[in-house]
Amino acid sequence: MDALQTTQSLKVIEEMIEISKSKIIDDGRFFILWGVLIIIASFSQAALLLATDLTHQTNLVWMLLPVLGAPMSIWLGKQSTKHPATIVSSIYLQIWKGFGVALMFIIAISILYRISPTPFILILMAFAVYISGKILKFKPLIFGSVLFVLGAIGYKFLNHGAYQALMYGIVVLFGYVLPGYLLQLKSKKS
Amino acid sequence: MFPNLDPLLHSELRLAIMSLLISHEQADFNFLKEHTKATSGNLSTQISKLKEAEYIYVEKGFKANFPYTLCKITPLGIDRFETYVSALQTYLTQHKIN
Repeated sequence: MDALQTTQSLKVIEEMIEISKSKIIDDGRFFILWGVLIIIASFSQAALLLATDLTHQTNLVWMLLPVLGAPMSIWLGKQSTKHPATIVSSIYLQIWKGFGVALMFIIAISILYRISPTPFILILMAFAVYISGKILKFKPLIFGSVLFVLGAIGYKFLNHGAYQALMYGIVVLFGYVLPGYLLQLKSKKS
Repeated sequence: MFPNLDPLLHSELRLAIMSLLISHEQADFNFLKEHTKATSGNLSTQISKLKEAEYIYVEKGFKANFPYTLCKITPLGIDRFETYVSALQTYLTQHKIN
């Protein structure tokens, strides 16, 4: 038997566990993709509300997200380097899957009760972005989550749908896309 | 007194395989080979030993027409790994006291 010294054993364990610790589990690409799509949809809705007489019909711009976002996410996922899932990366993925399911329920319930889903979506995003920031130990995401909460509170004080849509786009730009871009820079550096 | 160390884990390559599997949900043969820097033959032998002891599950199949081996730690494997680490810690503590 190739017996090991105690210190050697610990060194082997330490080196192998370090491999999973040093792995970047998110390079920000999904934050940028979904963030940009949300910004396009929200700014388009604001423009339509300001420039035309359309009201509820402008909500159709949000169809852009599942129609473009879902296939692009699958494509981006296939492009990324495959690493075996660590316990942390698996939890991280489950959080965003849970976010997707909760989002669909929020939208469905809001339609049923005829209320705007935006403040609830902002709070849900704040939660998911905060947890992501904590898991990745990345402060810009934690600051981003605070912006989402402020957006949800500020939503009540904006009395025009166009301003609400604009605010949503701006919050996503600074609370989601910008941290995603910084995460990508960090990932490239490492 | 030196605690009894699991002889199956008290080998550099098998310990490396178990350490990688304890921190990953599952890992394929190439990933294990890359990080343990072992030869295919040796790695395959040690994986078989861990599988026989039921410390790991091994799933073999084909992916894009290439043979594919996927390894995952079992609850027994997790238990034995924790016991091994605990035994090492006990030894180190006693060693420090002495």
